[in-house]
Amino acid sequence: MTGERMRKILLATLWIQIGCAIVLFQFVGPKSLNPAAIYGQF
Amino acid sequence: MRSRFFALLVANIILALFLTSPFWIWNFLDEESVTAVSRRTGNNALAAEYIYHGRDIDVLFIGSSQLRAGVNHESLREGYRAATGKDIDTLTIAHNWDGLDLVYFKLRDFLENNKTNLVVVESPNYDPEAGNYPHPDTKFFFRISDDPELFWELPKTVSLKLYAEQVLVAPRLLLGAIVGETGRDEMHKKVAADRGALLRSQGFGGQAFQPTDISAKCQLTVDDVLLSSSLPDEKLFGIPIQHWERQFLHAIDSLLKQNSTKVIFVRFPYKSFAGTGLVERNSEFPAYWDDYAFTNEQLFGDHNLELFYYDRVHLNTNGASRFGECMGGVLADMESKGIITFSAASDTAQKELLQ
Repeated sequence: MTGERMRKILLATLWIQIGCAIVLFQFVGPKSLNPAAIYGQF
Repeated sequence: MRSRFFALLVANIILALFLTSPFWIWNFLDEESVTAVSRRTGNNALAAEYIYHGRDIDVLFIGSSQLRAGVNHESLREGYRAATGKDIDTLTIAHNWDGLDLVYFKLRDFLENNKTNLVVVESPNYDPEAGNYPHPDTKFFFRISDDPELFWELPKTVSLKLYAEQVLVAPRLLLGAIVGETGRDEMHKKVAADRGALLRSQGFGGQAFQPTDISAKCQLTVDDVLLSSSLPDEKLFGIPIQHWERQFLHAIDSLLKQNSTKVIFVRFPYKSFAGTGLVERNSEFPAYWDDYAFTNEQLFGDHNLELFYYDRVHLNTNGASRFGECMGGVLADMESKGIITFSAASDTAQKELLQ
């Protein structure tokens, strides 16, 4: 496998992972995204 | 070219580690790592202190801010002592908002490290997220490797939310493990000073506080507060709960059975709670599983309710003292009827005497 081909694979993997991260964080609850709000109420 | 290749490789590895952190991070963290993230997220550090460095107690109260504000432990001990002549050791572990998932994870860790005769779970009174999200603090106490079956059996929308929240907090937990505890604030000290309770001497809705002591002794018994009827499938104490929350109820039930610990659910009063819609003892949960509800009328008679609340759902010092006194009496009544025996307080006293 050439270096160029390997680099392309790594780049694609990175984008896939970034996509996964974006999708995953859609599941984070609104209160978890703003812990200061929790503390404020406490 | 070569450096670009390595940069891509490193970025891939870091991102992969980040996204899979819930599976491996707890191999590098103590369970009590949550103590390091206390400052911005309420009193989890104190909860961790009670859970991981606690002691055997008689009664553990666990639930939301209604519970944190609503139990005066000193009044409870006096109420119990007046009926039995004995001492009782009680503790509150409370968090902001309701969440049966968080109750389960905290209970699991508490019972791994300590014993208690009775767990009093505050019944959810409201659901600010409409049951769609795990409790925002669950990510600090949930570990996939400790409950893999429960995790994989949860609906995927819920387990993904739990997973995503822990991914988000993983770097902070790791940093906490390196840096250590980030210090405690005044609120933490106040809560710690009163066995996990936080009593507020505030009048209702910003009014001036009027210390009020109901002179009539609280005479409530188990039978007065025990709710009886049959539990509809989708509700707990009249409050709708989701299927996945019910899975946590079953998990709590199994946990308590394994530890031979009894449990009751207590519905706290709130200012407009009229005590209707009674709910029930439930054969679905084999661990001792009774539902108690304290109504405003039972606790405060015909007094002005605004004397006992600082807002619509939280008791102030007046209310918490009355609730504590009544709860102490109910616990004494449970003991006199042979439902339970409390011994941790006398055990502790005995140990101290021997030392």
